[in-house]
Amino acid sequence: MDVDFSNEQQAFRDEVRTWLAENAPREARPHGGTEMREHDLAWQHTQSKAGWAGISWPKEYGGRGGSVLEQLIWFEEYGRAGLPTMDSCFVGLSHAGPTLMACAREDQKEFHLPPILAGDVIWCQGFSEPGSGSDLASLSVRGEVDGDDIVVNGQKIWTSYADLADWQELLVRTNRSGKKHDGITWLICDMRSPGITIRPIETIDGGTDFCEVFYDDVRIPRSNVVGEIDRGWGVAMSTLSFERGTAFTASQVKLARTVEDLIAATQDRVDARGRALVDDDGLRRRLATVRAEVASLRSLTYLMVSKSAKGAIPGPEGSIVKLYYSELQQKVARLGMDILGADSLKFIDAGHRGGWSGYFLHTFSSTIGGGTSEIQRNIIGDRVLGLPR
Amino acid sequence: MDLVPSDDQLSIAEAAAELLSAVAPTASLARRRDDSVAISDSAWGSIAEAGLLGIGLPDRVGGADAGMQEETMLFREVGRQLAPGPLLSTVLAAHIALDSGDEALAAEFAAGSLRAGTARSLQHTDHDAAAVLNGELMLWDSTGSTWLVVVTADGAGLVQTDQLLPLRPERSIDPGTRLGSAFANDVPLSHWTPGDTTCIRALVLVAAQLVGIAEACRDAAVTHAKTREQFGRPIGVNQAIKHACVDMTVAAEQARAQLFFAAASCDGDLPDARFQAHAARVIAANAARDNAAKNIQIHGGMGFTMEFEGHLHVVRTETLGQQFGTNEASLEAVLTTGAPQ
Repeated sequence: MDVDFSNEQQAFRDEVRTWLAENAPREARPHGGTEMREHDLAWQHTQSKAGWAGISWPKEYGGRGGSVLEQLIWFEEYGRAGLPTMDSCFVGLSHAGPTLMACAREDQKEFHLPPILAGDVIWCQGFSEPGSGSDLASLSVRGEVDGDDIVVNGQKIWTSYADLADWQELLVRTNRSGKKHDGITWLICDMRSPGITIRPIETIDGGTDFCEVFYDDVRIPRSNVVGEIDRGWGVAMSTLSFERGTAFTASQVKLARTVEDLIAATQDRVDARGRALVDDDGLRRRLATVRAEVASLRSLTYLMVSKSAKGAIPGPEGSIVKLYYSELQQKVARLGMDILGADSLKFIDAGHRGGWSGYFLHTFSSTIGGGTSEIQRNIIGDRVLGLPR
Repeated sequence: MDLVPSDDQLSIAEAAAELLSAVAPTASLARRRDDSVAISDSAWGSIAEAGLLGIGLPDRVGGADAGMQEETMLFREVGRQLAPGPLLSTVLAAHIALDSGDEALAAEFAAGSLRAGTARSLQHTDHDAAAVLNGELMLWDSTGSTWLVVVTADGAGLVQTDQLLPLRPERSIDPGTRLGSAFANDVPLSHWTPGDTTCIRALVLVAAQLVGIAEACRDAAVTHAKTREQFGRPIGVNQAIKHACVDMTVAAEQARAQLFFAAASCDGDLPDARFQAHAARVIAANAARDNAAKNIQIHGGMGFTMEFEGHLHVVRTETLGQQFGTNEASLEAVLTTGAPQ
């Protein structure tokens, strides 16, 4: 066991740190709309030109082909620089892109992968439906083969950035006769296709990233099927462990910074009786606990990354990190409400740079999005512990 | 960076687990409950003969020349197997003797020919008076031990058990640990080494035992959830049980990862090793307590019986938790030792 990085890795870290300091966007990330799209794509474009885009993408697809340790270092430095995670590019870089690499035809890869990396396009995900949340495989948006097209009808929901996206990875039901996991098809959907209506959903933190997407006789060329018709479930599941344990690294580093900021905030604040918050035993206990827990979250990530570096394919253990991170984030957000006191009540929407309340409210999504904590517990219980279903 | 234990480290754990379960099985704790010494002479002899006490000591005192990581692997198994007696305190005594230049004494501890229990002052001691014992003392496994270790954040030292007479045995909640009390009046410690080197080692190795306990409880609960049937099905199908088992897993994994990180930080002499050790201690204590409680709960009525070993995890966790500094002290240290690097 060793927690030191090699000279080579250290040099890589220095290079990343220097490059980020010189090239990261200086203006605050806009909170939505086309300004945010332009901001994110411009930053992705900058990374791409300098050869930093797709740190985890293989070289043959234009990526950096970084080792898992280099990925870890990149994401750590990214988080340390306080840079906002580019959620709008996430689906393209970390889900749709890797899925195409694993399952698409050569012509599909050639057409779609370079623009994702270059920061020319935004992808969104059309998976969840009003009636199919945790039970995704029960999805029922209809896809009917009609000549060279597949005609899509129905509704998707919780599609982040649908209103800004160029493309969508879309799961539709093309066959109802067999088991629910069979009969699903993975489609590349052009978001400008006629028949698509997008309606943003306002979330409790004031954000409008989420959208409902309605499909009314949307014709998608059959050549946009990835994999085979009716075999889309396997395609959708092919890339779940793409990041090899590093998926939450930048967010973890940010969480650690947030805890340090809260500790600093207790230094110059007093309670109603004029006592410094830093001397409040209750707050001290809670701050110490989350500081230790954030440290152990990093250790957990390092342990997973160490296994990946030895060639192990990360399995459902990734759910342990996701579960732990999302609950810890909520605990920190709640602690911040107590430390910031009445100040925390002023509503400042999304992006906690401007204030705490938006962050506090935003953290409620972390135990729901990307598989609820209850589903994560089922996955760990069933697949890691082998408990009966 | 690599937090996965090496093959050598894994084989230390495997050999330790095999030996401990053979010579000091958990069932033997109850049988020896009324014995004055928690571990049998033959079990102690076997453990010493296998070289387990000297794993982290240099070969010139009979050790295996390995580091804190290897000791961590050993003590994780000690925790998992609930091995009785003064194993950790004797290992710490050897380090204290070595650090203070008494290699002959270190060799005796490493060989197991001398044992050391633990003494802890129950009163507040000033920094500059830490090398002298005063007031009410609590003793761990002083019976059968010629020496006692005293480990504080200010320094560590040794005292001979017979210097603390009269010594009063106390009933212990843990059948694997003998407790006693004594009163000291200006008893100077020998082999005093200032600083918190020994304290940090103690924290990590306590955390290692607590991680072993947390893992053992998780394993016992998962096994029970798979095999115990009610309403015609294994109870593990119910999310109330399944998710409790998962929470035990998250707690154990988190504690194990932080333990490895702390041990590697100590061996690498990293600037934040102290922080990592205190954090490991805090996280492991929470994991062991939570998991021990959940294991009993999941076992239902059986969990509350003396026959079932679930309570042994509870009492060992508490007994260890007071032996070398408290959870509260480590929590405070997590906040005062500076941000992790």
